[in-house]
Amino acid sequence: MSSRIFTRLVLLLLFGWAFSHTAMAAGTAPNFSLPTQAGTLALTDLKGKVVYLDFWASWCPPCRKSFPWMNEMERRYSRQGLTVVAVNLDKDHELADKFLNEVPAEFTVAFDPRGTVAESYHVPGMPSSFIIDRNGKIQAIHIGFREEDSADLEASLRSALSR
Amino acid sequence: MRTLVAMIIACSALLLSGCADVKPWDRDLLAQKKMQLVPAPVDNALDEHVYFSKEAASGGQGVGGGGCGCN
Amino acid sequence: MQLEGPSCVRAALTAASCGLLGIASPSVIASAAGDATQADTALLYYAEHDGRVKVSEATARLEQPLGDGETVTVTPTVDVITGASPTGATMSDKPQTFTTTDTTPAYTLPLKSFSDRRYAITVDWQQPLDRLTRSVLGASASTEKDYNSLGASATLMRDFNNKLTTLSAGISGSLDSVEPAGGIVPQGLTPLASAYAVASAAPTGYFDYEYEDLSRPHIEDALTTPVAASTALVHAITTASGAVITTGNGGTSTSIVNGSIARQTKNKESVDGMIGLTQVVNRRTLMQLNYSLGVSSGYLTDPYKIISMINGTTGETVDYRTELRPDSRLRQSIYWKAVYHLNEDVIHFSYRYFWDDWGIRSNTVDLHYHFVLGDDFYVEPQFRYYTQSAADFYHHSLVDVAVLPRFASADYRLAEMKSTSYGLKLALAIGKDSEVSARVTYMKQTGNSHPANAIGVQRTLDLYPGLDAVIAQLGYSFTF
Repeated sequence: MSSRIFTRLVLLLLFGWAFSHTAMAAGTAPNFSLPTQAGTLALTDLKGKVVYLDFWASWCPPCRKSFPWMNEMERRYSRQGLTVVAVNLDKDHELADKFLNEVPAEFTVAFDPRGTVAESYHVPGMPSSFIIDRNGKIQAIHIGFREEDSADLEASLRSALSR
Repeated sequence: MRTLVAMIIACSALLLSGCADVKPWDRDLLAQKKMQLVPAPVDNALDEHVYFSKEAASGGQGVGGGGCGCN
Repeated sequence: MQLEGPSCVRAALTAASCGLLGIASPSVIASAAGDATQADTALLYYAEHDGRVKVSEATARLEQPLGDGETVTVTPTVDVITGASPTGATMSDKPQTFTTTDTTPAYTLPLKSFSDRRYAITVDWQQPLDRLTRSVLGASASTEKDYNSLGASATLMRDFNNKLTTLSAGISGSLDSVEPAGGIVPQGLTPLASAYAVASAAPTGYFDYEYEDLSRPHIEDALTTPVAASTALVHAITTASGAVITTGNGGTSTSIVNGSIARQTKNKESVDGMIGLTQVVNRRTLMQLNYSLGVSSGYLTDPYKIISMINGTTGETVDYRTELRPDSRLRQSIYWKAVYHLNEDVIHFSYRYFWDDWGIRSNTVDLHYHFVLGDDFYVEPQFRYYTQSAADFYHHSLVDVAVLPRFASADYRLAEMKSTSYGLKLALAIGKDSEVSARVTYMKQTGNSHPANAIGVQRTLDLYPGLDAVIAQLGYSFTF
């Protein structure tokens, strides 16, 4: 009896592992329509701009680190057509507001408490960012935020802006 | 002894397989301090010290895992 | 912390050198802005009943992020230990005298007083190797009057399955040395009258000696000051029959060779390994399963503990011998932990099964309920239940003329026993990054007071008086 249970458990295990990932491949960025602090925003509204789409939450420490950098990017490149959109995934809006009071954002913040947009982008980790070019195609996906990577990220942004 | 080994493998398999696929943005609860494996490391170290000074067994606790899974 | 006479592993029993593996994991959550140092400080007071061990301890855990997931954690600790602990001799229906100034009354557990201070520090360095892998390197050191320890550890952690699964593997090693107060490591399982005899010639074989230059000043006890060769140090023990046994060799209890005092040192080495699996089961549940294996070798005996020799017919104490434990120990354990988030509250539950080649089998159940009572306040009742079987060589006493076992110890911590702890923690958050907390725990150990093999008068004695202790802790955490 125990060896049958064991085999079933092993099969369940393999089954579980097989289904653990569905990654987002580079391609057209899925459209979305989300509330922001200033009305509703759809991705299609941003056609012609390079979008740095970031997914964050108040409980994510690297997210806290990424905000000053995103502010800097918005300041430096918005004239060249960059729009930073940070999609908040907190289930409790109050937590997001508290965070924004402590770490102000100079860029657009959108709210996706149910995670539907995160799901459509198959967000692989917290935080994750997608560089979407002027034609609405995903050029790069970056998982996490580490200060040592910010130079590379900025280089990818500049390359997307130059096209 | 063999039952023990079978139990360990079964528990590991159970842990890995009977698990929901938790999305990265659904780890809000796991990110909280009270949800860590060792939420109060100083309390834990003090306790472990008392108990292994007064008992024959010791150790066993682990490190790492869980949490917000942030990158 | 030595809760039992000097020496952290006074319980030369345990080897995890005060637990290097698995204790010092840097926190996953950076509660404040990424660069602030997180400090967790605590004051602890531990007190056993009946004038036994009392410990005051102060510790601080300082965690400093170094950027991009790299962290260094330093934890210094100071303990002051006073009081008295059981010698291993059983109580008798007659008074027992172990030192010229101190008699243990009838029906009282013989205790030995001590006082010591222990200083310890651990340092851990956590380093991310890539997005999914981390390593932690640790080092520790501790020192007290008669015990020193040095340890190092390395742990590797790797995430799988979108970080829902973490595999960890760690290894640690430690080198400890015991230098008993009085300068002599006694011969094991030897009657006290001859156990402390010291050769005055250059030592060979079993004992390791360390010579100290008499011209350098000492802090310790009277025995370390130069003594004239003719000064006698005598322990007179009055047994039930009225006979007086004199320990020491009638001359000096320390040997002076070439103008230096010989102080014996014994060493002990341990290596421990651990593999662990952590799994996020669902949004509210986290589990961990670990397997640990440890090997200790060297001097594992407690140099201060003795065992009563009793008359095989009457059960009266007629002599005492030093204890002796094997010089190796293989330990294993399986540990399972589950953390579950209710609406607001969190339950922490763990179970550990431990077994070793000394015949000890133990079960530990631990339960904490984190009760959220407001945005800033929580209360946490804690419960722990522990059982262990006796070591193969545990004896509450030995029959005097019977064949001696190869190893024997009457240390109550190797006996069959149960321990129950009830605790309560209260914590209040102050501002965004600080917390003040208070915790009180009541621990009670019980064992077999009337074992079946008690002989004669022993049937009227409590051969396992047990232990009651209260632990009080104050904590303050903050960032700076």
